[in-house]
Amino acid sequence: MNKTIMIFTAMSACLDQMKLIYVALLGFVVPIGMKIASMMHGATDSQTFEMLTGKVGVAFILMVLCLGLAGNTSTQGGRGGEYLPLVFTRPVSRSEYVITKWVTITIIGGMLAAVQNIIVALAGFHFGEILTLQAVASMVIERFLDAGIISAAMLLAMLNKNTIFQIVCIVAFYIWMAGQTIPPVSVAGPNPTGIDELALQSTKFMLSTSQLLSDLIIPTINVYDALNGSQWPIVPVLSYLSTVALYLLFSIAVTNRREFFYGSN
Amino acid sequence: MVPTSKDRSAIATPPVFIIATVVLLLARIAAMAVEFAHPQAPPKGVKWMDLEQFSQIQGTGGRLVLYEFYAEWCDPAKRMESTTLCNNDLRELIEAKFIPVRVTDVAREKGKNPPLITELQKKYRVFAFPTLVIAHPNGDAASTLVGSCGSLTTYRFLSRTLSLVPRYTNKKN
Repeated sequence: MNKTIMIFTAMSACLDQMKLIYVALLGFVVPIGMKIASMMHGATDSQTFEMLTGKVGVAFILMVLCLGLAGNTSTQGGRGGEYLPLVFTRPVSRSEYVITKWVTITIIGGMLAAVQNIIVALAGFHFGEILTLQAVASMVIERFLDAGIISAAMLLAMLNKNTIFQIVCIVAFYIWMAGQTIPPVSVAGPNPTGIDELALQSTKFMLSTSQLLSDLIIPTINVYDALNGSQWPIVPVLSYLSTVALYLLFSIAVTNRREFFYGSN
Repeated sequence: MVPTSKDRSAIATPPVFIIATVVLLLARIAAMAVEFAHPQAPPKGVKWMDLEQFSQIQGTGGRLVLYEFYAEWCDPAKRMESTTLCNNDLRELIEAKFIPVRVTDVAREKGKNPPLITELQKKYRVFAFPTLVIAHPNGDAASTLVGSCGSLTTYRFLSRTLSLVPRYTNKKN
């Protein structure tokens, strides 16, 4: 862990006013406002609210706040990547660079999302929605776990300069996000026929693909269920840890292959 | 000068990291294979009563009724049953504060549903499975949750509804 890289990363994340406004609006104002509105009107929380207070919310915060913090070429100027050539021409281990970046970005994203979750829980509590302390603690841990895997995936996507790889990452992100927009359901009624069947089958295919992709690229651990269940979730834990380790290993590998020229801008 | 293995290279990947990744991946594959070959028995879930049992109950004792609209062919409903509804906190809340009733759709198996199921689906505007509907003892819908949601979402849905309709909650508590 390199303290200098850590401090510079944190400073780069916190000193851009536009980023901070975006994070304040999307990360705090919108979900907290939605929560208060739904509680005041006695309505069920919307799926958008669930998204903004879950994994997708963490991804949005990290996407904006940490874009360029990993040090990708296109966003080096003024976004935290400006000292990358300097780092890489010094005897700083590149694996140390990647791990330090990952830890810092995880802490920033996890902390913001956890604070948001706690405020939302307090808003709900004010209106009579009761959550156990264990449930709130589970939400906080889950947000840090989400931040851990999403930041590892983002590091890999940003550090790899291959255009095709970056396009694949963006497409995978959108497919993953499409699957988060509605909870898994099956349409009621007798077996449809004709165009209705086609529409249903294609939607089902899209959702199952997204679910499969989600389990593969961003596996999650349901901490609340793990603490309150009779079985320890071995497969989800191993899936999570191995995916994070794999992303970090690939990130180190692609960083090791990068070269910088002293004469370049 | 020829570099030795003891030299600290800036582009060296720590071997322990590579080993840890490989070990984790192998463990993941092994765990998935074991789970596939020997699927675990589903943990203890909510004790649902069917409509027939529910109709024999004289009054709800002031408790809210939690309907689960379910179908045997529905994978998301089955997933919710084996994950979310097995959460101990959630199960205890449901069994303490609600009368849990499962409404199983048989339209695909038998061509059409019995009239009571059709009536309930129309009344609570059920268009997908699984759907949780919380109803007042007089039958009016209090709140609806559509889809296979996580345990925290479901817990919040139940506790919020309880807080919004205090006069219908269990008088004993």
